[in-house]
Formats: sequence, structure tokens, C-alpha cells
Amino acid sequence: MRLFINYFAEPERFSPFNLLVARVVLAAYAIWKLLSYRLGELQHWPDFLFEQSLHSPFLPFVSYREYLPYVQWTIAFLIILVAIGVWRKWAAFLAALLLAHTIAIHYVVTNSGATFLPVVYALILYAVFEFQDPYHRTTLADIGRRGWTRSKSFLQPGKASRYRLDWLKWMLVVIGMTYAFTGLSKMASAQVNWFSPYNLSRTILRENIMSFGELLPAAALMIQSEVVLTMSTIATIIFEVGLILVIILRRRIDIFVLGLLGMHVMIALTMGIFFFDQFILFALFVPWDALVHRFTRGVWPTD
Amino acid sequence: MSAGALHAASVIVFSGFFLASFYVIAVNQAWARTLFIWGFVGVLTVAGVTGYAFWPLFDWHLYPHTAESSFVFYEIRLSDKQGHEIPYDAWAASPTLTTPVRRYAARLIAYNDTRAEELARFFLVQANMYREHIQGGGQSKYAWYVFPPHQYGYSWDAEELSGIQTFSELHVFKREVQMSEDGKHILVDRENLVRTFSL
Repeated sequence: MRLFINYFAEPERFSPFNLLVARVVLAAYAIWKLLSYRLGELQHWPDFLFEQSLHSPFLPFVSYREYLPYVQWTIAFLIILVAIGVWRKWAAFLAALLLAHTIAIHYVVTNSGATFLPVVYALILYAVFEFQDPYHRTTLADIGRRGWTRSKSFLQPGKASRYRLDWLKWMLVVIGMTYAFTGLSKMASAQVNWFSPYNLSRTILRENIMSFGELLPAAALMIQSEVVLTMSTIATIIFEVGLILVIILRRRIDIFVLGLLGMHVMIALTMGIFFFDQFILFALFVPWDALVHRFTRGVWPTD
Repeated sequence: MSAGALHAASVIVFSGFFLASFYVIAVNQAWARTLFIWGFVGVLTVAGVTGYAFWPLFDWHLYPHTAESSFVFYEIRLSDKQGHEIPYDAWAASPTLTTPVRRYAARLIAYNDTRAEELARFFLVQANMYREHIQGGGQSKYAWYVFPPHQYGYSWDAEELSGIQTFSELHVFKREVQMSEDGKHILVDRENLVRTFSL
């Protein structure tokens, strides 16, 4: 069994169930992340920072930022609508628009706001391919009434025998592209020098000194070994650039996804920079339908 | 590009992106979806390749440069009337992180006096509010229910802040660090107090 589906190779499934899981997982993640940001604090930052920013056109009145927490709650409400299937197409579009607006302003004080952009893309792509998702509010209500064990409609809510999941197909391509640019930009500006083990040890030491004032335990261990450093730099480029290639060549993506997640674990342990978002984003491509099928011992239909 | 041109480009890209999405979602036709998808892949490629990425596009150039063996950075430290000095906890100036606060430390040197003082006052006021919050037993940024921050770094806890009174001064230090070529040791770590702001 595969751990992650290459939807570019197989955008059709026996069930659209993964759309429902992906929609709910994305919604829960987006709301959790969004409400963890104290956007109300942005009103205390000096006005001139916003005035001189490239993003100043996003603020209707540069010195008035008190409205942002209201927008924050509105986005959370719209995303809940998407999850439960009420007015979901336009709720997804509007949530993406408001989220892009809000984090554009947040970006003025920290560029880490860019980690919200995949959520914006996911919401837009969901709205574009919303018509392929048969889990309407009424379907969900019906499953709720009859109980999911007796209802076939959980794995096969419609009469079709094949379902297209283009939302997840293009989301996978977008994620593959972002990794490709992180890898290619290293090659473009540093070429082979990037592969030097000492480039990595200097980066780790520098980040530790600047962020912690001392070396993290994993960092102290890692910079001692040239073998580990060299393997890590090579693996980073192979996984970052390779993911999009295996996607469009329609190969299995498991090794590349696991490699990238391993890379994120190593970056967190050695530099304190944590892309937790990626663990959730890759969860969108887990074959949830096959898992459910297996754990219910085939009570639910499959191919 | 001039500031005006950059602003215009950012408005055009943002509006264009969402108007195009709106149109595609509204007409709900296969040809429009195909066009939109390839257009989207196209603009992401342009942003990623050229580095000209206007919101909501992004270039995703992360750590593209090699690390030199020597580097310079600025950091903010705070002190109270008794002279207790501690580094800045980025969470005090929420919602930001350790690296951006370091960039602001550099800007406190580069800005003219009016702006630098306004920014320094902001950092001091926020730090005092957050100090009271932590000293009063409040949750730090690593509370379990908060989405894991993108960057971990030096942070305050009640123990770190014990005995510390109201912060009255903000110090900007310039750090010049020289590493060994193999990045395993620090050879030189010089720090100089370059600017002081008082509340």
C-alpha cells in the first residue's frame, strides 16, 4: 500500500472520500493556525512600517488596523462553512481572499506569514473544483441520521463508479513546485558550493548563535560529522527538486515526501525552524479511503 | 522598479489573481478551469524563477546563499533601572519571530531618530506588557493549544524574569562573529553597544 497518492498520476478514485477528509483536515488546520496568530497586536506596531511597506496598498487606511481580528474570525467562520458543506464554494473563495488580504498585512512584521499561502491556494483550488465533491450538506446530514456504518454514502455518496479529485491533483503540483523553487534557488545562487558540508555546518552554527545564543544538542552533534553534513545537503537538493519530477513523471512519491518530512524534522532539531504546516499539507494525500476500507474489513465498498 | 511601480504591480497581481479565480469559479466551465490552472502554474513559475513575486505569489527562495565564515548581526537587549540586562523575547512583539526582530534591531540603527525612537518605544512597551504577563504566571508562546511557531528561539519564563523590574532601556548590540572555515567553532565573537533608547 502507498503512504501518499500521486494524484497527478491517478486523479480518479473508486471513492471521493479523500475529498471529505482533505476538506476537514485543511479546515481544522487553517482555523487552528489562523486563530493562533495575535493579529490584534498589529495595531500597536508603528504606522510608518506599514506606510513604507510594499503591502501598504492592502490597508484601506494605513493607521487603522483594529478591524483585523474581526476579519480573522470571519475567515474562521467561512472555513467552518466549507468544512460542513454550507455555501462551500463561495465560502472557500471569500475565505481565500480575506486570508490573502490579512496575511499580506501580517507579512509587514514577519515574512513567516508566507506559510499561510498554501492555505490560500488550497481554498481557491477547492472552490474551482468544488463541483467534483459530492459531500453536500444534505449527504452529510443523511449519513448523520442513518449512522455511518450502515450508510454506503460515506465512501460512495453518488452513483458513479469513478470520481475525479482534481483539487488534490493540482494542490500536489503546487506543493511540488514550491519545493522545486527552494531547491533550484540554492543551485542558481550558490551552485556546487551549496553542497559543501561546511556550508551547512556554518549555516547551523550561525542560526544557533543568532536565535539561541548557544548550540542546540542536535546541532552540536550534527556539525561534527562531515558524512552526515554532506549526505544532508545532497538529500535536501534531491528531495526538494525531485518531488515535482516524480509527480509529473507519474511515479510513486512516498520516498520523496518522507525525505522532505525528515528534512523538516532535522531543520527543527538543528535550527529551531519548524515547518509544521508541511506535515498537515502532506496528510491531504494519504489514501484515507483505502485505510477506512482496510480497518472496516471491507464493510465499505472498494474497487 | 520605483516604489510606485511596485505598489501598482502588487495591486494588479493581487486583483488579477482573485478576479480570475472569481470568474473561473462563477462560470464553472472546463475550458476556464484548464486556462486558470495553467495560468496559475505559469505565474508561480515566473515568481519562482525571477524572484519578482507579488502577493499572493511567493518566490520560495529559502536559504539560497552559502553561509560565509564571518557574519554581523544586531540584537536587542533590555535593561531595568537596576541594570539587569536580558535579550529580547520576540514573542513580546507579537505576532513576529526571532529573525524579524533581529532585522528590526538593524533598522533601529539605520532609521532617522524619529522613526528609530518610535520603533524602540514600541518594543519597550510591548516587552513590559509581556514581562508582566509572564511574571504573573501567564502562558508563554509554547502553550500546547497554540499552533507550533515557525521559529523557536530564546524566550522568557518566570525564572528568567525573576528580580527584573520595569524595562527602562533598550540596547542595540552589534555582534561580529568569526567561525572556523569548517563551521565547527566560534573563533571571535565581538559585541558592541551601538545605540541606547530610554523609555
